[in-house]
Amino acid sequence: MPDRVEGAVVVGIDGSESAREATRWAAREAERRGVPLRLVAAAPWTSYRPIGVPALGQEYGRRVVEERAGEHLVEATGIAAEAVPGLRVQQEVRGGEAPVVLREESEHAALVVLGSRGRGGFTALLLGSVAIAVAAHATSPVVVVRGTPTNGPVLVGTTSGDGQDAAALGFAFKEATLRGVPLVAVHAVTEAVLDPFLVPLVDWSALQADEERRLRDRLAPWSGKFPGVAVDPVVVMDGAARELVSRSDAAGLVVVGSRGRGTVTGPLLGSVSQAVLHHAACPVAVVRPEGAS
Amino acid sequence: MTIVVGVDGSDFATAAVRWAAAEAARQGVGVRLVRAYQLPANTSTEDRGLMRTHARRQLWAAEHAAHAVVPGVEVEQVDVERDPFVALEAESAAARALVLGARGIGGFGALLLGSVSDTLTRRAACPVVVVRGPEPSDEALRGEDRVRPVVVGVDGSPASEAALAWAFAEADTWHAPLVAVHAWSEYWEDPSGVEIPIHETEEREVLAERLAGWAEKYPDVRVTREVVLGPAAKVLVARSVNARAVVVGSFDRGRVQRALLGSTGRALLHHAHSPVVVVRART
Repeated sequence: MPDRVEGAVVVGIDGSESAREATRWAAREAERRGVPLRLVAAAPWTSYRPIGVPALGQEYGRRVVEERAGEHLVEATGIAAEAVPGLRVQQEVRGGEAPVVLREESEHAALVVLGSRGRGGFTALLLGSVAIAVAAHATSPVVVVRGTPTNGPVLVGTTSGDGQDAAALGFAFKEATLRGVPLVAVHAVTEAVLDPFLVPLVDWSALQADEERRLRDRLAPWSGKFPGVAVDPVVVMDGAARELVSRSDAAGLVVVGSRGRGTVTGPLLGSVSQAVLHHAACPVAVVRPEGAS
Repeated sequence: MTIVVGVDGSDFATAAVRWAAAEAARQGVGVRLVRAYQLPANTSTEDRGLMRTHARRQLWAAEHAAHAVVPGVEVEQVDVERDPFVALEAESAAARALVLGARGIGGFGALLLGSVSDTLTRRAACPVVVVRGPEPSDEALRGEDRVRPVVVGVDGSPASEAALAWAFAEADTWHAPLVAVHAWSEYWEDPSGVEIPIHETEEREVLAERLAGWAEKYPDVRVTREVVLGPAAKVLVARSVNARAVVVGSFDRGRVQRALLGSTGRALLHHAHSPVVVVRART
């Protein structure tokens, strides 16, 4: 097994249709970034050891699980080669449970890419458990591939100037540059952040203009850094998640911070990122704020 | 007592959860969803937390799947860091039945199913159900169709009596037809090696005798008897098409070898078109 390449686009492979779509998306992303693609299949053989058969034992279970995982990787390698001929692709079967393996991979990756649904066919669930777990815990940005990939603008959700969204903004500007598409920065002002007593007295148009000005100020340094990106600042008096989901129809990628609004501590996904992950009509990137544990 | 299901987030496990929910409703008990997994000893606290959250999310999804079939069914969730085989074997001591997906634990193919079935049907203290075959609708699982039969293999052993007990009770509750299959061969080799010819009429009598007591206990169950020449597995696999379940006793060779799963049971676990219930004789 060759050494793991650093800074690759990593894809979690489990043989599902959703993982095939993720592979196609990730191959194009690796090409855009000029980095290798790394396909990783988790083989949780330690959890599936047959007992009572000492002669076969753990080695037997391990072989079965690893062979299956290996088949999925061979298939995925073919899909990547078809999507982007000549792309440098590395593959590895790694022993362990998928969420744990992929979280570790994120420490060495530019990006971890996952399908929106795993092999588990709980039809009631819109999003695979592995995707949620990895999005909440990964060090690198995590892209959950959903909907139909288009060449629409990059959409990013911003928060109110506490710097928590710096990592998400940086990622979004980079993606817009790589794709050569405009960036739509959405800032939502909800009544929840206003004093309810004052709501009837608020001059909404003045507030909106004020928020727009502040949003432009926050985006200005990023535009300086990424001068080629056309930026469209949008302030809405509505929930951020609703606005991002409704605009995702026409977008190529939605970028959200992993923590979202509020003072959530610990490895939990914010409510906005959860909602967008579940309902967006295009791929979703979840970016961990810098310095978050 | 509950119906215990091995959960791992796979499609196969979901099918098992759905079947188990309906079965629990039939028996008037709850479902106990068990997600067991193992992590390497050097796993960090963060990764243990991550895996635990993941396992719990899968359990909630499994509970959701159970309630989709039977909204009122009582569901318990258990996540445990332990070898799944050891965990499920331990669970079987207090279970009405242990229900697994078709690909065994992990969804990793027939090879592991072999190890699951051989291990758990031999060691589990309760009936083991492997849920296979096409996915029935919620209505069919709840027995609202009254069409899909319960199929049972009969051979006169104590284990097959236990299988009959399960099959009749199930057919009675679901108002489902019961198909009793008795396979025979033309000759029986006695211990001295002499081949004794057997006649079909005798076999029909044997089957009728085996069923008589059960038919009295469950007068409403419509029983179709089938006496077939040749291996039972082939016929049971054929009859399992569109069946609610196929029920067999595990072949008991006595105390020395403990209970081994007979070749019929093993063939069914790999080829049946419906869930397979393997019932051990009560000892």
